[in-house]
Amino acid sequence: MPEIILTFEWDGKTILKETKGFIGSQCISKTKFLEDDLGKPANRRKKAEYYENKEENKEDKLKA
Amino acid sequence: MSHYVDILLEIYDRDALVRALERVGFKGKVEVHDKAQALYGYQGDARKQKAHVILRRKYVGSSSNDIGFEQLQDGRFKAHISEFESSTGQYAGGSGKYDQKWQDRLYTYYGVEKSKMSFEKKGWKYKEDVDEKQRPRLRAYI
Repeated sequence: MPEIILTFEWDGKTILKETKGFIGSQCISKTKFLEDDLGKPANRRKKAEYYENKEENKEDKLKA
Repeated sequence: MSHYVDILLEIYDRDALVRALERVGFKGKVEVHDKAQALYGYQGDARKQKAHVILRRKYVGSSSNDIGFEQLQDGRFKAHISEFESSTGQYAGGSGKYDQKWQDRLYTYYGVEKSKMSFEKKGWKYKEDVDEKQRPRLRAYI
């Protein structure tokens, strides 16, 4: 099930947004409303999982 | 696909600000106005600052001034907190109850409440807890 985890730093400025279980670039498009509502995004970092999925997708394509 | 994003928080939403103020001890004590109202000092004197969201001095503490949040033309809220309450400048050593740490805590809860409102608007379910570092955390599901 797609999930968003928001962790709030006590500095009153920074929110860490982590997404799980989204397909493809949905993790950005489906959760963009939060950035629109809360403020400006900074330091976007892709998780290792992103690259793993990319490798898996590549393998799937090769198998097909 | 997954990723992390650090979002730099800005305060634009009046209702979320009120909910945050309620979380830091002002439940049922927050004044909200469409038109900015005068803030009053500890002697009952009207100050030049005005605000749309106000904590009156009777709730702020003894010998205190009103605390207010004024919505600027670009929609952002600016806090008006006197030097006595925030213990800066010549009043360092004042009550200090509403110092930078308190303001950071308030703005953190603003982020939590604003996020909840965003999830509610989208029809997402969420749970609030704290992580291992005791930071507020929201988990939301479609």
